[in-house]
Amino acid sequence: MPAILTVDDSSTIRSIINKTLGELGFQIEQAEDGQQGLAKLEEVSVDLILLDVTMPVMDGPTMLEKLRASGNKTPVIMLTSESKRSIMTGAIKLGVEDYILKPFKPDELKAKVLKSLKMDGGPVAVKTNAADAQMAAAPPPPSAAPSGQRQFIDVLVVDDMENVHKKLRTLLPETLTMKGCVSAREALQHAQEGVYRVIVIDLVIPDVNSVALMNQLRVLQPHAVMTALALRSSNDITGETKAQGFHDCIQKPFDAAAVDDWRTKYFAVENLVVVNDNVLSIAEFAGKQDKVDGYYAKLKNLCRESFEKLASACYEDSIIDLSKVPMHNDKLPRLVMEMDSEAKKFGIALRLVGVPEAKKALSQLVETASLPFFGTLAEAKAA
Amino acid sequence: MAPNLGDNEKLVGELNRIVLGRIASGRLVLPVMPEVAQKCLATIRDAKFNQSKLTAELEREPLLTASILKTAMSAAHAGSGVKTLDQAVSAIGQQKLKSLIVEFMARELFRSSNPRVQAAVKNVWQHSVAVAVLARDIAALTSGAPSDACYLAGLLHDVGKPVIAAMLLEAEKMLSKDKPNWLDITIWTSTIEKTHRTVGVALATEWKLPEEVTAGIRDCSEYDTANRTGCANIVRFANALAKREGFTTGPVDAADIDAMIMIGRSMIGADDVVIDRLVAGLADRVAQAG
Repeated sequence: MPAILTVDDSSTIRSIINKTLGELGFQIEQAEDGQQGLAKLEEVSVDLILLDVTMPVMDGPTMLEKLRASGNKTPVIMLTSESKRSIMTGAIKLGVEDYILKPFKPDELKAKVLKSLKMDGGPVAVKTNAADAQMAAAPPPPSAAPSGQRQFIDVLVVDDMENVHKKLRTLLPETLTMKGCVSAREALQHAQEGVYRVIVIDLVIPDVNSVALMNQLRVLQPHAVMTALALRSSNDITGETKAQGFHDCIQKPFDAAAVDDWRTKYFAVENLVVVNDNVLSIAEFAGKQDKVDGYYAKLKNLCRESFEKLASACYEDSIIDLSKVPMHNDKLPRLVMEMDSEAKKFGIALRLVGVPEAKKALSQLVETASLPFFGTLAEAKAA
Repeated sequence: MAPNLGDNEKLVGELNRIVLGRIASGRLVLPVMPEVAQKCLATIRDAKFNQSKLTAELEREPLLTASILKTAMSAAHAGSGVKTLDQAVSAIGQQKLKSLIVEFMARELFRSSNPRVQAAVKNVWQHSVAVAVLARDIAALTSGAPSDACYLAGLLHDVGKPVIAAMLLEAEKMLSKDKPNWLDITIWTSTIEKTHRTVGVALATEWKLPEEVTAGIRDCSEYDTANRTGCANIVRFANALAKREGFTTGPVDAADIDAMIMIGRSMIGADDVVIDRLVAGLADRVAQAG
């Protein structure tokens, strides 16, 4: 068990530290002043020292100086209400790990102790006491990986007009989660609470520097795609916003096809086919006509991947909901024919759900005419 | 022949005494904020804000107008959708406009055609912009202190330096017309370091800047434990970070900077990861802002 020496003339502080760090499994030694601290170190070996500055008999800087002069390199964290830079400068020259200002929050104490002992997720510190096997079972850091506890949301929209949030919501598939906010402060708050895939920032929010806000949000959400939301213009606003650090740009008033093009860059693959048990629901196509071949090609690949997963899960049949898939001459029947061929490779039989026009189109091809076809999902499940 | 070390210290001490004495007696001649800027700020502060009146006043200062238009037309705000000053004022907003006007005036203070003044304050503007950008972002991400005020405080925390430098030039000329440039550069920098804060505070008061800005100028040397996450502490922290990242104004003591950063992180409650990410893109953000 890692051992920590706390040197502080306040019994209250020593008690708080004992409780806070004791909960993490550390063994806590105590001393009331620097002289006692040095004497304690003659008796026991510790992994870290928490050192106050102002103490009777011998103060913290003096104890630190004597400690280092004797060759003792035990890590030290200054834990003090003293904030004079000259005192800390002297301590840094003698070698300290960190500093905690009183009054302090328990989380700060825990985080800095674990970091100093290299127990915050990095390599485990070499123990001074080689017989202590419990080091390997050290407790996890108190601030556990934030993204593991935070909600994952696909899109954050920052625009002072709520109508913009509502309009964009109508243009994005329901499978995408979205949150809207009307101010910079609200956006920063949300960014601290959730994990976002894409953040859309209006360039015209009164009293807000959108580039500065984008940089601040990027600090909190380093993996998010930053998209500028700009008023429609004949100028190269996309080029301008990229020069400012945005990854992408969409324009207002929204154009459905342009929004869909933008959306498919970051979400297309994951959400075009949604799998629930053995039901494959296919999202509608809302892009420009020249992109429809790409839509069908993606569907074919995604369905093949889905059949592989269904076969691994020992499903022998699958229901494909074609209700939202456009007809586009013979593209739908050909797609179904290819899907059936892929499904058969995995031993999976298909049942189809769709509109009457789709049934009629499928009946024109020999390969698809005999596939079971239903008007509703309920009927297909009941069959 | 350059004065010896003892003479230097006496001279610096005498110059300090003169400057501080003039401030105390109200005889220090400070740069006056141009009338246009004063009227614009008064219009913005007026409870019955009149945008047309503001636009008309701004138009009297072409350089300031150009600066506002450029900001509004940047991708940070409305982009190329802005075509008129009126649209620019609407797009930027009143709070940001106040900052822009003060920033414009401050930048003018750092310009000088005199090479000795330029040499003395050479890196101060870049350092000030770095501190301003960091202070704004740290405030936004941590403390809840108003980020615009922190930006201005950061930008102006060394504003006394160019003012003192210009005063030293005048003093030099007056004291010895026959022997120009007789003040050693070490005397210049030493006098500037010892007096610029007091002059900066006097200037902030003269320009009627918000108290948070004045507090940020007043004392950057020690943290204020009574107001841990206030604007002044954020500027102190940003000042140390900027220096660590290479935006310095002269020789630095690395241990002193580390001490200010260590104390500041705990004082403000700044997360290590957040701070690391903030400083990672600092050079680019300073280039954009400066």
